[in-house]
Amino acid sequence: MPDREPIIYRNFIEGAGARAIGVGYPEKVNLAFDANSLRVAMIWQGAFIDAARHWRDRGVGYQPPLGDNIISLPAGPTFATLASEKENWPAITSKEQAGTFISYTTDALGRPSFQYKYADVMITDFPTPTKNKEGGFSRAFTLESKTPPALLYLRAAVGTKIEEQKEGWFMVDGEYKFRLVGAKKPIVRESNGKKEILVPIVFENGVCKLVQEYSW
Amino acid sequence: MKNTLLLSSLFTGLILASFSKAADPIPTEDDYYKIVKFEIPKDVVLEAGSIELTADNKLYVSSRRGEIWSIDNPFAKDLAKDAKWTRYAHGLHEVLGLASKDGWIYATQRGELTKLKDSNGDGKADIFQTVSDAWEINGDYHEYAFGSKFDKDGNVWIVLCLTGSFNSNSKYRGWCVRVNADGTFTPTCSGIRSPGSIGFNAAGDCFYTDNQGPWNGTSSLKHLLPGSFQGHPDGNKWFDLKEAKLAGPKPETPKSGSRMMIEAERIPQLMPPAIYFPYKKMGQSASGIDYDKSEGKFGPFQNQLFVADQTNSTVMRVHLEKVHGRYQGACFPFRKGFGSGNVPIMASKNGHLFVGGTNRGWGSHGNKPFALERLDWTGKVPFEIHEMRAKNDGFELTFTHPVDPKTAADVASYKMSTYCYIYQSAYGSPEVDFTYPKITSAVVAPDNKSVRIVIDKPVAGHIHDLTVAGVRSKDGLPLLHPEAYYTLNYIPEKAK
Repeated sequence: MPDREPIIYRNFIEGAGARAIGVGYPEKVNLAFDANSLRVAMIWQGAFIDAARHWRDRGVGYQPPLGDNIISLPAGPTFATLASEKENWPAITSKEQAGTFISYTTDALGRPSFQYKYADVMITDFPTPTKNKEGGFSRAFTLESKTPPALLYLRAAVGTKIEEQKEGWFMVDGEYKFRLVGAKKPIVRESNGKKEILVPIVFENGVCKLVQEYSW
Repeated sequence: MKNTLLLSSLFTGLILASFSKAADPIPTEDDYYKIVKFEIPKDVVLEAGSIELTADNKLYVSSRRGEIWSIDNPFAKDLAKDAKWTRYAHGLHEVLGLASKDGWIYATQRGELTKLKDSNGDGKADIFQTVSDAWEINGDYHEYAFGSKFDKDGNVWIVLCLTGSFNSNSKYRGWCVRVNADGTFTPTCSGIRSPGSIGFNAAGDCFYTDNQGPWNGTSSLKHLLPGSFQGHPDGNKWFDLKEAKLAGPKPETPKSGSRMMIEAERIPQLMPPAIYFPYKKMGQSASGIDYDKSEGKFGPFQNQLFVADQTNSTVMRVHLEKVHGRYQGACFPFRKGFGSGNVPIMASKNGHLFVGGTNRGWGSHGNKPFALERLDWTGKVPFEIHEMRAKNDGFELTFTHPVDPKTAADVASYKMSTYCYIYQSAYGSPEVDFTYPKITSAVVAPDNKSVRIVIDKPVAGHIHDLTVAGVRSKDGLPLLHPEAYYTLNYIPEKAK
């Protein structure tokens, strides 16, 4: 259980792959970043993870999160370029195709900010716990590129049912809600029989900043 | 019960008395090399994975739980009082390699080589940058990655354990790869099974230890010559990848049930182990590697290699020479009695050997779950076989002290057997093909520091297992370790 500063746990985490980077925050929210597919794979509340499986004997197998209200975020890349707004969101077929994992840096409070590269765009993905009473994350994205690609999107959510609520919040399958701050107007579309929210990424002077907040 | 104890201690006393006819007792390893324990902070589980000493004399120790600790004053006399511990990093994936360069610490994790830096000077790393993740892991616990220090060209050499004992199910599993500080990734050797560590000799050549299992009759020390094949064929499937062409042509698959030197004659890339560590006689799980770079501050073994053993909680000593252009040589017992299962070792220029241990998942003679220790030389030189060199008709032994010429010239002071292993896809091998060479002569050099033994006759491809029980030093001492095991892959030509 993280006490004063976040606990980081790189290991085999069920739902986030063999190169998972689990982060448990003192605010009792947690996430697991998948360093192969370059995405936040899961967010959950309460207890972080039980490391006993990996810290006992030879440490065999994958360990799932320990806490509650585990939300699996959409599989596939977080950002992708599409030929048109009609094109299906790509799947990740290999580590190389997903992009390049660059680094994480920790701030004064020990919170990691993830950096990865996709299509000549350097992406900084900095999740921090929000102070709302349900518990949530605010995920600050900074995208930088000298040669910004056209038709680059953030896929903010995938669900069977996505409902728009007040103050910019969207509820996804009754499980969690999210909203976007500082982003272009999202596109709501049907694809592969599901609803998707795509956010066009528009660079100004080679930079694009936006925030996605999660609450659940 | 009490009586039995009393009796047995009396009996032990009698035996000891009969051994040491002189007033002085027979010296032990502890008289020459002392094990000094670090006091690991309470609540820290330091299952040691790797050790690095940086230019500013800080000792960095990584753990299987993913922490890196930095220790100030690692050479202090009173480690409990003066060694200062700081947690430099946490949350990494089972770090089994540490190196340093230009103010960065390089950590080999299971899935990547990462460089870390403390950019704000608070003693804790805050940048964790991926240098290369060009190999893969699939979640199998066996897929370990051991990383070296930097070589002179700025590369970290990494040996990638197979997926389990037999298969390579993830990219470059069963390979040695090099990663340059600039991120360049170079597949280097195939044929790896289950490494215990990786390191360099004094000449800067890279070696790793591999462990008994499929295609490995016993644990061994192997030379990672770029382009060579280290003996386990399952990882050879990755020769189909484009960048693997850098490691040369794909070797032929060896015949199971054969012998190493028969296959090495047929498969040019196959690199026979430089040193076999005979199972149980020397150890059961060879691990950490480093060489004596102290120029005499650690005793008489300058430039020789030290190799740890995890199961036996020991450090062994290795003398290598080149015969037919390839490394081979002898191993000797050196020091036993470490606290846990030794994995990493690191020798310092000022004459200390740091030893880290863990016995989680693999038991060890040292019964502590983890340990960090320092081996200090007391300044006394033990009576040991210093070097063992192959000759066309036998061996030359040099000693750390002048020998008593009478016992050293007596052929009855020496006993030798030879054997090898079945080179096979099944797990391990018994010792096979025994011969018992006759020692035909033992000629002591005029300075009494070396002995030339002639045997009838040496067998190429065999370990020559020598016990030198009868030789005494000029002061009448027996050898501290009378055993020597020479891996005679090649017999040298007759000297001209």
